[in-house]
Amino acid sequence: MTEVIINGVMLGLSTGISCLGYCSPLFVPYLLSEKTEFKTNVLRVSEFLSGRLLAYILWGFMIGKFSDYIESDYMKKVSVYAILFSSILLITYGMMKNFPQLKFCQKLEHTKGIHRFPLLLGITVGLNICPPFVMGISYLLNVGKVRESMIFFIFFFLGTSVYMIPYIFLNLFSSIERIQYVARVTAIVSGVWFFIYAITLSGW
Amino acid sequence: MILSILLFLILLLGTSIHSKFDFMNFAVNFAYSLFVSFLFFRSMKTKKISQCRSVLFILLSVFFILCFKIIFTSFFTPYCHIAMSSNLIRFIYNAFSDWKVQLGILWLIVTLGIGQAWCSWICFFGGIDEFFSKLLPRPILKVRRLPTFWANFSLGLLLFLFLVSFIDDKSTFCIWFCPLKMTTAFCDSTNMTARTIQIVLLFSLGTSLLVFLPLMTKKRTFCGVFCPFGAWQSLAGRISPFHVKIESQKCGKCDICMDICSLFAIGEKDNEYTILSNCTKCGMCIDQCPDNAITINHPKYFLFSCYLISGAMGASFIPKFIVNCIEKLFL
Repeated sequence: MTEVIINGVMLGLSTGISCLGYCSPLFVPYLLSEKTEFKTNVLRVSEFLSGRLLAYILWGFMIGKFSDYIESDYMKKVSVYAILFSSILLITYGMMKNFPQLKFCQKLEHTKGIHRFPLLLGITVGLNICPPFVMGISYLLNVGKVRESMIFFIFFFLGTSVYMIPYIFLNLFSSIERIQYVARVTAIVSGVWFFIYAITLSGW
Repeated sequence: MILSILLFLILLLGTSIHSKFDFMNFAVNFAYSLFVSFLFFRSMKTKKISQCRSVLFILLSVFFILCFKIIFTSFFTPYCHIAMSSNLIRFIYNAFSDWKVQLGILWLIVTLGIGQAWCSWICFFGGIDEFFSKLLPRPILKVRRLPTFWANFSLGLLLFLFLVSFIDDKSTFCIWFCPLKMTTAFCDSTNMTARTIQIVLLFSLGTSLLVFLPLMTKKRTFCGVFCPFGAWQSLAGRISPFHVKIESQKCGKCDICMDICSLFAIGEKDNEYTILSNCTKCGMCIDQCPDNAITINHPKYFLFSCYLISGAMGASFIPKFIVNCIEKLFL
């Protein structure tokens, strides 16, 4: 068990910068697009990280339980759908912020759950398989136990989350109005690009 | 006059050092240097910036396309400055090889000198954009100001490219957004779905932003709305010593500058017109203002710097291209 914990933390710490790279194009536009207080920003980042943690625990459970049956194609499909859903979330958010006068966007604003955006984004980003994740999965396929897999991913999450600390200070930049407008545009561009990226990965 | 002669001598010396020492090369270098110096001299004499600038700017683009895109001579393809802005992170952490450091230094020198004037004096994309924006005498679609979303689009695209450069080791702009990529090889995998989407995207961006929209609006839509390097220079270019400004006491609020500005670089604040950070110092508003309310500081040195840098950029391939053409066609 100690070995699993240490491996999880060390993998997270050694590859976490890559996680920061993968999360940033999706999460940074959201953080910069509204003026918020430091406390609110911390809450938003915590919600995002909670989503990631949920996704990692789910992966841990699936790999531990079904390690004999999991194929790379299945994992790739989960990843593709996760990226697709993240991109749709981001495009929706970008549309709401850039075009609030549109009726469609006004309806979305009042949709239940839309304000849990960071949590939803965290879950979908967490379900996407990035290179550090692949290394973790390769290790766990040999372990093949549910409890160990879940614990591994919890500590992997903790290791990678160290690199997410800078996100909580982004409210310093989002207080500048111009940056808010720019980030709202970036949200749509980023969402569209990831949508296209997911389609190219799926081979449709 | 003295500055014109100085410019001529510098360009002639520079081109002669970097080419073969024979009569044909010397003659072409001489003609090229004379041509650029003449444009500078005419600008100084008529006190009009934009007309002569436009000629040189469009010619640079035409020769660039002929030289590097139409396979007529075996030239190396230069590294594109547009890719540089969004790949700064890669430049810093894994690309400190000699020529990229040189490119970075070159960019710094040009930015320190003329700032965002790069976009209206050197950039080949800008030259294509400018050419189509000048074809019709009047706009079919009149656009004076951009809505907030489009006014911030280029900066938004730059931010996106910067963020995605952390995860993609290739230039995302070149692979997915560059209109001129249609004519060169793709540097990513041969995924047919990706290739189809890329071709559709590149073709539609190229035809709309570089051809149709400039033609219809007489605005440089690629440069003013889309280009991430332009957005980058609007931030970095503030270190340049040359700035365009509007003197509010003289300004008659006739709106001619707003109509004529092809880059949406004139805004209004507190009932006064201001020059925005994305001004590329093309000189069109300065030339057209009936009240002479728009000026640039140190115009002589500004023009000299622009013609020198622009002339030097052109000198790196235009004379050689002309000599190669002559050799292939007549010898």
